[in-house]
Amino acid sequence: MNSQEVSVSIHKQERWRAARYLVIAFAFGGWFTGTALAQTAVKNRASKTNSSETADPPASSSADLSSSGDPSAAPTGTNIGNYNVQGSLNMGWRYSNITGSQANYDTFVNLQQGPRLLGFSLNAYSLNHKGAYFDTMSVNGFGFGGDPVDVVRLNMTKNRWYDFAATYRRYKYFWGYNLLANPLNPSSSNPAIPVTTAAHLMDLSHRMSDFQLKLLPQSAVHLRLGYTHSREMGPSYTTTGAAVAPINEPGATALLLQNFQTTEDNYDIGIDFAFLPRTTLSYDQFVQHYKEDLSATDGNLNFQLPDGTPVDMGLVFYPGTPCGSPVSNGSTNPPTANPVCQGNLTYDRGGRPRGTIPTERFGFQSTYFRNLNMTGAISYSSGDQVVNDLYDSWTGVDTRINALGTNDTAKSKATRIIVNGDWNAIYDVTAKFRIMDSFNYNVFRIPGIYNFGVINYFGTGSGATLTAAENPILFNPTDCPAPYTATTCPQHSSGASADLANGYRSTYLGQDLRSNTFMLAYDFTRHVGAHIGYRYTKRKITDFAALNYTAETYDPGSTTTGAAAAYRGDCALSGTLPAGSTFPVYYPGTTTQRGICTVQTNGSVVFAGVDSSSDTSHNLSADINGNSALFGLWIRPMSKFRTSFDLELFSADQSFARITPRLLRHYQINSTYIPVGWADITGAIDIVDSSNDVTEVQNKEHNRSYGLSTTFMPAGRFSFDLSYNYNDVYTQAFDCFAASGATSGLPAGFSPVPTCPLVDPDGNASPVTIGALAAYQSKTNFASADMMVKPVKQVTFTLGYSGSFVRGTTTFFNYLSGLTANFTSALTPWGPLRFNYQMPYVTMNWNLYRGLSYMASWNYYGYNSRGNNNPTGLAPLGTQDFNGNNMTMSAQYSF
Amino acid sequence: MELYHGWSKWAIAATFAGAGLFATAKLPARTIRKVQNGSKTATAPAAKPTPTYVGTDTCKTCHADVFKNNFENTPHYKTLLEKNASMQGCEGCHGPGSLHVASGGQTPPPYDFTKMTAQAISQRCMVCHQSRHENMQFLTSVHYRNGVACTDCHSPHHSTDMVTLLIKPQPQLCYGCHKEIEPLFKMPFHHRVDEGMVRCTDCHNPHGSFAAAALEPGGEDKQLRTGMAGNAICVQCHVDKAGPFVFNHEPVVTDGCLDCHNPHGSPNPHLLKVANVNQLCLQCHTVSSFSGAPGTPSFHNQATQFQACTLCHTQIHGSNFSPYFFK
Repeated sequence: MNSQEVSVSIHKQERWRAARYLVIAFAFGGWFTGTALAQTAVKNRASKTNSSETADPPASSSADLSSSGDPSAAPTGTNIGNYNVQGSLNMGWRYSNITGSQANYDTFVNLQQGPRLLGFSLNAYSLNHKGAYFDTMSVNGFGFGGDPVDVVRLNMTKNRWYDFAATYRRYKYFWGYNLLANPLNPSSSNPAIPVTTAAHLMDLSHRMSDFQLKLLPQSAVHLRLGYTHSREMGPSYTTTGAAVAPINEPGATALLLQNFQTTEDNYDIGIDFAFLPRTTLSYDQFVQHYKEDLSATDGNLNFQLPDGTPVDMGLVFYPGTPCGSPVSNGSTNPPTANPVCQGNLTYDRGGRPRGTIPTERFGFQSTYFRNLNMTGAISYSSGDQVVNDLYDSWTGVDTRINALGTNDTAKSKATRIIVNGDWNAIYDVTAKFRIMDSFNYNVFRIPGIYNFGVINYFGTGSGATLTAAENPILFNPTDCPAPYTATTCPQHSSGASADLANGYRSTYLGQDLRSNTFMLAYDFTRHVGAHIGYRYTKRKITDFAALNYTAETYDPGSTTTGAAAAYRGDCALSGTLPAGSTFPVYYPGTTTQRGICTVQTNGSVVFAGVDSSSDTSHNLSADINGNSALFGLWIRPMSKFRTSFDLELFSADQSFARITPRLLRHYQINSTYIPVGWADITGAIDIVDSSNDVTEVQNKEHNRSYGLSTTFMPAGRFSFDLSYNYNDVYTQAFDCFAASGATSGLPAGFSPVPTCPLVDPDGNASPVTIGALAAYQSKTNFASADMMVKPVKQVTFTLGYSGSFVRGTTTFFNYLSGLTANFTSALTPWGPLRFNYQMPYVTMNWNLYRGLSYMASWNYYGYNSRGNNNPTGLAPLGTQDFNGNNMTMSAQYSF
Repeated sequence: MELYHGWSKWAIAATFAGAGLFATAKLPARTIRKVQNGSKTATAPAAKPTPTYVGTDTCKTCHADVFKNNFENTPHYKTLLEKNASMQGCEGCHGPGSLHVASGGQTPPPYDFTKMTAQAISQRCMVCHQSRHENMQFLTSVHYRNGVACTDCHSPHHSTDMVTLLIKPQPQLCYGCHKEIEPLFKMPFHHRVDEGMVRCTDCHNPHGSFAAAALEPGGEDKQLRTGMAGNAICVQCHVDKAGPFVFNHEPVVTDGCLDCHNPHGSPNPHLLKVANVNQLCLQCHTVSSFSGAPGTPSFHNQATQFQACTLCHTQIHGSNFSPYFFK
């Protein structure tokens, strides 16, 4: 199933679901109308038997609008029984014409052609505030029939008895942008196959439902009930280079078709007590239940073996990858792969994570003490995510370790405990002077355990004789007797994985965060006020990332090395075979023992201990102390002008990640001015400058935004909005990376440097290591304008435009040795660095008759790249640009 | 206990200073008017008679149109069902109206919102509304500190939104001040806020929040909500990123999502902070003396392939299967 088929399939499903929800919505409307009419009948009967009941106004079925005769007048609703009811329904058709990259259009916009329920609403309120089931009710929604966003919101209240709110949201999440996870195969590869669709394509549907019910909202004891449901599902693609476990080195990077399915249900029951004067105590019990059903299978079997067996040669085609001559016969359909080349015959993966997370929270709010306002909450959460059935199965050829298959099964359990405590207080010393204090406490810890078992299968061939056509085999003393050099033995190279492995890995991550903010606020006059404060934050992070205890069996078997083939991996020898049946294994460069190897009678060597993939060097415990100075000023010299300024100056003595700032400055200004009733001017500035400017990092970042907008509405028949924004984003850090072949001709700032020797923690031989002060900068100019014109009372035109113009630069790491030394024009598409994204539109609304309107709109979406997205030397990727024209015509009926 | 060392003295001193002020200060009794207007001149003269409650029916004699058109069908109607006269109807907000009535409307009601400071307006609203969970933090919020009054966003009498009484729907209301944010939602990659899928208030609580400072420097200004379990609000929708995972990508949990993502919108896919995902990874995965992030191994040859680290490290937010986030 290709991506288009996947898309069509899910679109059909969505239509059916949309139809169901429409039926439900209309059924609800029908129920309501029926209820109201029934209530009318009851009240009419009651009025006949009780002539003293005069509080209820007489029921009327005529709308006020009906007598006005003015098509542009706003409907005032219809009285049905004890309710005034207003409603609207907007239905129409969207015509869509897209040229260029459909995948990018769907990723950015995803408005498609077809009939649509563009909007509906139904509002009702009880005329005497004594409704049978509710006093007010409002339901509205939009987007049904195929739009990417469908929303329905419902609110119902009955005074004193309940408040109820419900929301249903559905989002069709399509992701087809293919420049993010793309191997960028060069044109020099054989064959030169570009990846023209997103390797991580997603066509998901995300539904979220929220229900909140508050009982007895005006009494001293309130009860709150809540339920939310989130479900995200659909087909998607992902990739894996982890064809061989547990080494997990990149192999033939496979494109996997993944059935994405996650569900979360959240339950909340809470109670509020208001027995004490001016004090509310509350208790909440939350329960989150999460389940995920993921399965993935190789979705890219686009080649065949000579015997016709489908085979996946991976996404990455580069000279030498997946092998020197990947295709033995390109004239067949599909092309015939070289069977000794790296490839995947099957790949399946699955697992069903389940999690239950209960959380208890106690909170309070009090103004019990005069002039002192306090709020606080403390919560405790402890939950697990458990996976009992992880599996990962692969067959194919991995020429690096001579493997033909692997079966990996595992169980995992992670527990998270979170304790939160918060306290806020504000004390009015005088009418103008306030003292505020806020304390935050957040502690979590996440211990995890992972149990695994791995079986690796090998073949009787080796190197050029190992083919995917072979049957994967395990070591068997009958077929492979001593001295283990028979051709029937599984052939183990020196880099082959253990034949069998099982063990467990434990992890731990914790953080203790405490923060206190103290602030003084003073209102100089009723027009000017300021605040000044200080915040202290302390973080302690404890991270034990990897400790891997394993039992590994290394079987013998090799036509050249025989019994010695078993001495590999964690039991690899640097010299001669040891005397005796056991020998110790040490951490590299130390005399600290990490395990022991035992030679078995059948020639196998068994390792027990901490395996070499355990990387305890990255375990750490970090203490970070942060200090912030806070300052703010607000000015309201008149009711028509308001401005505020906020400043935070932050410093820390340590950082956890390299790009976590040690210094930060945040300035924020927001101003609004309304010189006359028909015009306003709004401006905003937001500047964040941060850095971790220690010698080995040199991290500097800024995100600076400036915005200005004006609105003019001199008459009811004309309005005009104009807006401009400028956004400047910059980040830099000194990065070290491996790059082969580049020792000369490097651009300024790049050089093989001695400050990057630690690039290779696993001890593999390094290509040339490069250090570079890598930078990214993006500057965006954004402009928008809207104009509304009412040439006649019944007709409204709106013309609008918005455009984002992005210009950026970055350091490209990906270049081909020998082809170019110019990093700024390396073989990487410019993608999001430079583009224009423009969205003009025109709408017309014509009030035809008594709440009946005709609407038409034209929306254009234009994405035009202004960088080089097909650099010479890359297999062509196709255009990223698109032009989308949408014409929507609809009729709306309101009553 | 060492965690308290250093800063605890300061915090304790501040707490006691505040408590001392509270306990010892014999502040002169302040009238409601003084608090609401924030000026001495507004203090009611001693000789002035104390206003009393007259009931909403009395108000209706002159303001029948306001009651009919701008009150009766609003959520505030339910205040008429309150037993306490000080919380009922018109006087529930505007205060006791006897003097206003006696003067034939010449004397403004005790709470004349057109003449009150922003803080005074908010304090008046909070008398009833602060006990709601949503509003508990408002008096310590950034909006309150910066002179944003409840009535800057809500219109008790003239709103067309009969649920929240907002003067404009979201997100236009928020854009009214936060102009710098609006263009981000017009970027190719953005949260679907303009489309109506997500509301500003799904992630932010405009009435203030506890979360704040705990999340990141500068985070308090953002008034972010937290997830149900006290974790980042992002995972409330992105449930597959919530974990807990056996293999955590540590900064995701300790530093938050914003280390790598710009949440509102971005020119970069997946709202990343940079265009090339490798740059993002290498910014941290360069071995440094203080950082635990491992450097990239030699076979991650940037001169050949691996254009995006996430081509293989697909489960970069956390995994239960692979310490290298492969699956």
